[in-house]
Amino acid sequence: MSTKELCIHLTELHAKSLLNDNDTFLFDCDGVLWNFPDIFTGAVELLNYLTEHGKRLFFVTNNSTKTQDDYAKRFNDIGYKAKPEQIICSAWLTAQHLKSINFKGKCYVVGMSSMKHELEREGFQICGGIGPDPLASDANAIKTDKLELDKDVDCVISALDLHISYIKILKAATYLNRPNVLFLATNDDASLPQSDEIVMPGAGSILASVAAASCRSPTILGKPHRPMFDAICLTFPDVDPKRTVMIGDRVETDIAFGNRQGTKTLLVFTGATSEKYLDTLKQQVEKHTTERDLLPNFCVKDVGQFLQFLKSTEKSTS
Amino acid sequence: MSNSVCIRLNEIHIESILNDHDTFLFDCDGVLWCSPNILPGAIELLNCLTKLGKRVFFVTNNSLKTQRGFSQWLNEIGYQAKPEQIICTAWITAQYLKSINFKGHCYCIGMQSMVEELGREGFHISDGIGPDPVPPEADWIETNTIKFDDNINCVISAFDIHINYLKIIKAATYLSRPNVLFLATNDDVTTPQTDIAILPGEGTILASIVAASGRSPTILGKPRAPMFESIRLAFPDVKPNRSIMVGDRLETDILFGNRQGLTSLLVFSGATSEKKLDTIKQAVEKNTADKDLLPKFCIKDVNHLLQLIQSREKTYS
Repeated sequence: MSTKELCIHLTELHAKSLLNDNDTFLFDCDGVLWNFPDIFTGAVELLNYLTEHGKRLFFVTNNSTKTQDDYAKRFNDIGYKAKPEQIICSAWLTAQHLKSINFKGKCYVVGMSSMKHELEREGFQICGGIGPDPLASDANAIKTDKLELDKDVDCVISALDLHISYIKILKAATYLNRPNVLFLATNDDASLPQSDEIVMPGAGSILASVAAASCRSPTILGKPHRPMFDAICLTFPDVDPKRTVMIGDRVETDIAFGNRQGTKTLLVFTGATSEKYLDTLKQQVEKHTTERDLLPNFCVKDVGQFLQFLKSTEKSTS
Repeated sequence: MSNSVCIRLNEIHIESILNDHDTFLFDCDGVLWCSPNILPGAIELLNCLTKLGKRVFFVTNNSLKTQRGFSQWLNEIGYQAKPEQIICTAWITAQYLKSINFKGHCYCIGMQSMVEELGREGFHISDGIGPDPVPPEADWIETNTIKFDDNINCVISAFDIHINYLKIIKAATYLSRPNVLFLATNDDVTTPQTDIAILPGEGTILASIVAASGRSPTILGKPRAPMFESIRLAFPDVKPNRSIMVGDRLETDILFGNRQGLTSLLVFSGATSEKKLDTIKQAVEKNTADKDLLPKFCIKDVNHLLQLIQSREKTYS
């Protein structure tokens, strides 16, 4: 399979076309704009540059540990005036999804307080799963008769949870074993972007244990699946995927998401995907052992370089 | 050799069951007991087989059992078991490390049973046993505060009620380093259930580590070979075609028995109902399930097996 039109290293000319041919820019955040608290050089300037040029910006993140308000505040603090509706984060998206299916009932949520905040904002009731649910430190068995199980759970949601524990997996699986209980997951990223050598499990790791114990598969809301793009189009129906660019650092989520929705895709090498890994993938696609959707149209070192290319095209035409 | 499967065991088969098999392998949960109750006839059956000169082994994926503890318990409930009859996954992990001449330290997500069995063979578990708490108020983990041991070159995944995010970080980080072995005792996703709750098993814990690390482990327990190989190593006269595996779970016990060339006998007292067996049988006929999931024989429970043996004994006495 030919990969000639893919993984093109961005040049000034490409940057100019991307600017001229597209109205909407979707940004992943972690590994693209920052590795918090380090904001990447040129990131904020790029966002402001694009906004000044009349582009519409959205922030499309699988990170379930922050609310829309958390992100809006963070952007404002670093110098970009973001409105909450520009932020498409997975905690907020989960609440929108439940709203869209007219969900009535109680949710057991394996996740952080951000999930509680976004769900309760839309009036949904959470019956547990947020924060620690500890066993005694000297426990060596589960006393099933001492378990506090809620009688009326209608939905189990799996997100990133720093307080994941055996009891929580037990409860989630037990609820999922009951009839007519919905199973949602914010996303299934296996790990989080890290700047050091340490592997941080992602929502996908938490989800793997809940899915294994329950023998059920969830509806997954985050990238690379559709719901985030649908949420944008619901509020902004004039967003045209053919005039949209998705900028991300992870091929399995960001790039696949963009390609599948029909947007252009731009990969940066400041996060989950290295140039070497992209090369390997490219070869696999050529041998038909990996799907083409993982390959971006363009790639660039970082958002700072994208900005430099944009600014130099302006200089050369002025 | 007949190709029929799922044969309901009755008087006409018992002769060949006894004459053609010297070694009986028993799964435990759902076969000999349904915790906390020992199933009727179970102990009597074990004693009966031993009296008939049969060799008996207990082959369990439960990684909380030790050879010492389990044989002691069997003695207490009326069966004189020797530790070497217990083939449990904590013990098999130690045997595996011994067989590959493993040198180094292990990070083991597991419980005291793993410490005991690995310790017996001189293997050192540096970390991973017991609680490794995340501060209850934490909304982030400062990675530079985590202590890693540079001598760890093996990660083992077993049953652990103290599994948490920090332990998965450690396991996945060790597994990202070069030349670190990845072992799992077994991958049963649930432990035998109560009516109250689903009890996540070793496989559930393993799934979170596999997802975070992107690596696949060498899995030691049923249905894979190591447990039978270890029996043959210690008892070279044990022959697969003269051995019978008695179990309640198709994807572990029966698959194990069939793949090692044993006669397989399914009991309906545990994980598999007659209805479930029928469903799998139909799937096999449609080529959508592995035929090795189907037992050669099936029977209601071990009590019925005991009764068949006892009636035969009466006939011949």
